[in-house]
Amino acid sequence: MTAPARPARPDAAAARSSIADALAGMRRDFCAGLDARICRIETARLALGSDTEAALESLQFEAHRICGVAGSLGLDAVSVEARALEDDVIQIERKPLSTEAQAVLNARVERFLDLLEDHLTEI
Amino acid sequence: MRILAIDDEPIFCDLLTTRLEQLGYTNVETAFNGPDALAIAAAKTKPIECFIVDIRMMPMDGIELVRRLRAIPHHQATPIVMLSALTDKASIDAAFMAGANDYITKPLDMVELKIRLEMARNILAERAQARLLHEHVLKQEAILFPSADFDGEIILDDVPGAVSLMSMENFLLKQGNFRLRQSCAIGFTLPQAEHYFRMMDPTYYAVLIGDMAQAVSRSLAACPHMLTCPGKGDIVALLIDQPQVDAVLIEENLAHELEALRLRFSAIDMTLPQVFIGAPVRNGLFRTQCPTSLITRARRAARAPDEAVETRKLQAIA
Repeated sequence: MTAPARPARPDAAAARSSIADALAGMRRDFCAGLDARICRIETARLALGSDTEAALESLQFEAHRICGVAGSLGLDAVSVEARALEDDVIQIERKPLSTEAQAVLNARVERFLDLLEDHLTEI
Repeated sequence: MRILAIDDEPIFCDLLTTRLEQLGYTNVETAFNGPDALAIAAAKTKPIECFIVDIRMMPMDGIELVRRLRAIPHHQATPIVMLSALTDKASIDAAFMAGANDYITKPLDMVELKIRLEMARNILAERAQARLLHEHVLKQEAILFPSADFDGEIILDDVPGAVSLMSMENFLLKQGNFRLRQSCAIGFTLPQAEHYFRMMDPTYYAVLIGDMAQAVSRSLAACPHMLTCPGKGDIVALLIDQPQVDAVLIEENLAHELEALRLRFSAIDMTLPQVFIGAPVRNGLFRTQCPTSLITRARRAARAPDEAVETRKLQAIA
């Protein structure tokens, strides 16, 4: 077992720049993939009335994944909204989905989708 | 340190690799699912020295992956750090009970990541020391009093729920006093442990403690628990989410398990050691003590010889 290698000081600025570039590239990749995620979330939202259980599972899964990645890439607003959607779905899953609950969830999903669409422009 | 990061989000794997490189960990591999991770982990040449595992993955989730990793003989003690956006208690508990050593949450925080990986390196260093000690003990078999440390922790590989002392402390620190209200610790001690230690080869002494820990674990089988052997013949069990504990039932179960051990001991002309059980201890909501003090208090409760009401004694006569 060895201790992690310490980056050499003269290269620190270059390393920071390289890391920043890499992170910017990942952020672009994430935004570029948002349309597919939006599509999956939209599909799940439309299925809320018919195949509720699968739709909720899909919504929670997508929100969960977006929350972890977006927050780590510095897209804090997206991460926070994804967490809120995931929490909402978890709460709803514990009881039957009423019309009122479905309307509240629909509104939450709409807000989230709007936010994701805003970030599509970052590509 | 050779690290394997497992996450079903390729972008997150890239991000994690970049962040780890930033911290100086340049030997990082990634896998996007459990089966691929298991295939990499099975390799014995250049073995993985630390796993970072996302909890929520499909089709095999991270908790199941940890269970399977722990079933691989050369990864029974490899540090495993769980990683997930999940912050719910059930996931944390399940991860630790499956064999994880630590837990960090997404979004990724560089300071937390650095600290957790240092913890993983410490575990590796401890393992290396333990291996050296084990080799030393084997070489010194003929010496009457080997230099193994009676006060030192005994790492158990094959006891259900067994974790290192550091892992249990990490778990307690993650929980905090508020959530610990639902959990309690029970200390067990072998009052004549030092006598056995002096009398036996350290390897056999470790086997003896392991047998006792196995019996304790079986006696607690009905409750989610983890246990550790911090040294001096002590065993501490942490019962998770148990607002009510039936101490009498646990005592009866343990007596039953010890009785089952009795034949094995009498076959080698040994008396089954006496075991003291301390009263369950909990952390109060407004206690100012560190959550890890639960371990110390449980050990103290088991060792209190004069508090007959608080400390129960079990002995099976060979």
